[in-house]
Amino acid sequence: MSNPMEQFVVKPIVPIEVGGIDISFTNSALFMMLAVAVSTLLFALCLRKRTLVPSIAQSVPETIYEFISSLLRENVGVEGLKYFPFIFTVFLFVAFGNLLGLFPYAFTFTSHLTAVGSLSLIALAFNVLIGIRKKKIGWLRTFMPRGIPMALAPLIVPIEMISFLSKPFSLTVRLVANMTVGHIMLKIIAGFVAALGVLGFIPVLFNCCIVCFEIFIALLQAFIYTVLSCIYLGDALHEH
Amino acid sequence: MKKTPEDIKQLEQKIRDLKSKEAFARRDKPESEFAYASKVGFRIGVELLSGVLVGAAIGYLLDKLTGYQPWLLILFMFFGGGAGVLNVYRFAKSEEVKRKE
Repeated sequence: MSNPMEQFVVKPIVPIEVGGIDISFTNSALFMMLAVAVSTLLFALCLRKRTLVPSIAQSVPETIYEFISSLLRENVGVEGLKYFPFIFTVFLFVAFGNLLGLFPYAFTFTSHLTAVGSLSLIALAFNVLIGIRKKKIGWLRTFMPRGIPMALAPLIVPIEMISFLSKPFSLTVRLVANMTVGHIMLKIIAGFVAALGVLGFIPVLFNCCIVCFEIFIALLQAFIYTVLSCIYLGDALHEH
Repeated sequence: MKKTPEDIKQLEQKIRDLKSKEAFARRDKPESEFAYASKVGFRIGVELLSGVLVGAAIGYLLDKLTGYQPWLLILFMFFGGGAGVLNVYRFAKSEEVKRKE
């Protein structure tokens, strides 16, 4: 039986090394590019013929668009629509990363802390930059809420700072943990098929159910990740 | 076929019926108690843990920079624990407000 963790190994496809730093083109990078390519193709093909009354193909991207823009309007407000391209990109990237990872032999880059963590760091940078632009020096109040005596500052400031920095981290962990767990479960149950011999059809049926559930989880987690990035963005735009 | 006012009235009635049907299908279904509890439980667990981990990471980096090993690591792990509890407290408060609505 193969190792259930083997599917998460990042393997270089085209080894590249520049100045001692390994920047090889890996299977992770390949699937990120695939996610971008597939989502771009989907939109390009479905929106080829634009009509006022949408055809079935045209209504797919339009539904996704409407969905994300209503999400932004609910969680951030109308002023959040400025950041629509960013949120829309994040949603498509994560959703297609999750879905493409469900294909056999595919690599799920959303199960890697580094990949999702970088996305969350971009959201963090957005949050900081918007906050500073909006509130100028008053942004530092995030770490020292009003009405707290000066004597408590040495205690409150580090705690608030860690609380601020741990938000993108917990955002990342939730997506990564969900994707990793689902894929390990699929692999382990698939391992039972060979081990059970004649009765092997039972785990196969079970795996079919899990795959359906995983498709649901893939979309749900992409949705949750997007909502939380929206809320995160909203925190920077609004006063508490 | 010529359209008569009667036909148009019938069509309007049909549209109204379908619209109310759609609104009924689209209404927010209440989440099951178990789904809600497992979602919130997982969120709180991750929130508590990530506070400590991020605190420890910051403490470790500061240790490396200043050379006070291992004191800042220990101190910042406690700060991280505090931050985790603070995050959970804020999350629980916002959930409470949401449930009351």
